Amino acid sequence: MEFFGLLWDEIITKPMTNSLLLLYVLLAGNLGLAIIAFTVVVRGLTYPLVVRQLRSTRKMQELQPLIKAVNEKYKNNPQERGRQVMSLYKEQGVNPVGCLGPLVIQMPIFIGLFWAINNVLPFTPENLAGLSSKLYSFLPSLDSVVPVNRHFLGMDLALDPVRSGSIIGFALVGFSGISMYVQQKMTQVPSSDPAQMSQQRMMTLMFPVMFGMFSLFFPIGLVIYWVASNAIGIVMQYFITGWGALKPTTASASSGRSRLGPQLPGSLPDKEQVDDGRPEHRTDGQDSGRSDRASDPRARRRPRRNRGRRR
Amino acid sequence: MTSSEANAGSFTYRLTVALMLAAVALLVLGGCARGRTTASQSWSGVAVVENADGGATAFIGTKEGRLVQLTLASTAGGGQLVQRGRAFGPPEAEGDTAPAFYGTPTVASGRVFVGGYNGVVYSLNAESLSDERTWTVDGNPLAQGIAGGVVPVETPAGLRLVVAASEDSDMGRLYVLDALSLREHCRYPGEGLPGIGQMWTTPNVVEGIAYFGDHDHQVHAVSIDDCVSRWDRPAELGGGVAASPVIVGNDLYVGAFDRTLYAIGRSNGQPRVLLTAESWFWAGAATDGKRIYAPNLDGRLYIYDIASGSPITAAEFDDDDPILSTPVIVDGRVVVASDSGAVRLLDRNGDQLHSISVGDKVRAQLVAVGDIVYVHALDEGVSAFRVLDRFLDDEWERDLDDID
Repeated sequence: MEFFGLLWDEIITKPMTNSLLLLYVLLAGNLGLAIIAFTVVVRGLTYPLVVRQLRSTRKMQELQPLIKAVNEKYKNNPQERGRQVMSLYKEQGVNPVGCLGPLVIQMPIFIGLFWAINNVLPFTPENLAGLSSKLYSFLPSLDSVVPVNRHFLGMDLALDPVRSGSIIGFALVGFSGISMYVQQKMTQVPSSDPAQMSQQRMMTLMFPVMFGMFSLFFPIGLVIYWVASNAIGIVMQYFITGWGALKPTTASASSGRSRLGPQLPGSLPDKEQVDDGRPEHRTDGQDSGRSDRASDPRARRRPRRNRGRRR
Repeated sequence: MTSSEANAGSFTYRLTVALMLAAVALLVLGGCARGRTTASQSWSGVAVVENADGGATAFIGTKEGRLVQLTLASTAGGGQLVQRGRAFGPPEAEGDTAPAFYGTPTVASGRVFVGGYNGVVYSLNAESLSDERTWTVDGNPLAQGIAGGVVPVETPAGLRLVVAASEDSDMGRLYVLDALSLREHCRYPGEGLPGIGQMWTTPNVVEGIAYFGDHDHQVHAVSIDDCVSRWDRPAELGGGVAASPVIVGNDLYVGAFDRTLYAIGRSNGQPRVLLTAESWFWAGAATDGKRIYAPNLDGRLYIYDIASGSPITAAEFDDDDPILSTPVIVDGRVVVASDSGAVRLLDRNGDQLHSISVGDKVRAQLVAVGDIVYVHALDEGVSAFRVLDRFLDDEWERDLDDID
């Protein structure tokens, strides 16, 4: 495990910690702004992964009614059921673990970001001493800026909101929960199953509340990161999938099911129709599983070259 | 593509995904496990005082916020440890408000003094560990108060305590207290004035002047009589200062986070660069009056010759673990300990004569009384070594966790 710890330090923690401190230097010693800028940069770099993950997740969710129908139809024939489901995935060009890859790759990046922020916010002498081993020797200017000025908007970024007692700190905790709720809601596809709907609703509320409670006991610097990260995530998601379940469309709200509609394999929309390597322009109001942008007038203002290309 | 080819392709794909997941999971686990090692620790040195009966008493602060008293048969004599220990836990020691002690306790006028990271100065009867008195800045506990030692100083007006305390991560002050009543005598900067940088240092008090550095790259010289600066302006260095300055002749010597060891004129506060290392100077240096032995987080001990005004060498060791522990000089030889847990005996040129491992990181300052060196490791083991001609002789060791 020690080997993986060292590997983690070398390829994740050190580059991120040094980058964050560089941003701190560039932003005139304002750590709050540095954290926000750092979050923007990292989220920007992982944008292609996020796009793939969101599209894949969306497609999988939209296929759920069809999969359910297949499962019901072939409930006594597991072999045929599996074959039909796989055939459905194939026809729709969906990779069942397609959303997992980007998610898995992003995981260490976000955990690394967490540790990078923790590293530059040393609360105790041992934390500060530990920071020295994380700084690159070829960047001696970083040695001169530690320990960093931890104050931002009147808050000590190393203290948790409870100990800080700052109103802005508590507001940030609220924002972290709300932004998480919004992001979750945007990802959701309404289910036709009432039990599943109720479960979805509970999860959508429970996670932000839990997250908000956790935020109360983490350094405010990390809460700023979460709020910024969620805000960026919301913007990204808006441009990829639109408002999603946050602003239910009449069709999806009335039908309570995927905009693809529950069609069994064979009667599904032709793959070529929705995925010919070029942007789709569906006129029937149905989602191609790729994006809502086709029906968004703003989308047409931007060049669409290289989008929707499948490898 | 045949069915078997498709199956083989699918298997390879699944295997690749599984391996990728496992690799990322291991990496993340390694990272998380690494993060946990930054759990709160503290490192108090060992204070040893001789008793009237020829024996001695040692005081050590623990990670749990206890002050432990060990009764020894003698300090420099037989070194036999009397198997008796007592622990005093301040009321705040329960739960997560336990004070961390980074500074070494000090003993004067029958009282033992120690400063907590919670910003509280504790004063106790040195014999019974009773009659607790406390002081805090303006009566408030602090988030990151005192990370250095409390320095007792005899003055014509009585015993005074000098302590560097931080009000928050950006601001600190030097406080001079009356040792018996723990009432504030004066503070620098004075009340109503903005504080200086955060301080995690033990002031060095010589001839009524306290010399100390802060995280804002400054070193100060302040009279403990009236808390007025003795320099026109503080000495400006290139990095934060956590080390205590050592004083030889007309200069004080201190290392900073900008990897530089400085000499600062005592009369005017003018800094001069002596040498540059590969990492931060965290711990204070040791001196025999002729040379400065400055430990560095790059794992080396830098030796500077005062008379010739030039660096002599940087003593390197098998491991390159950081050195956060202030070394000591015993009979012209240097004893230094590092994060590897190695306690090393060096000659005055930095050549290693002998090494003993205490099993865990040593970050507390080393303390020497006579030819005995006391070492407090992070695992709460306290050891005493006798410095012989070319060896460190293991005298005794004690686990503070075993003391109720």
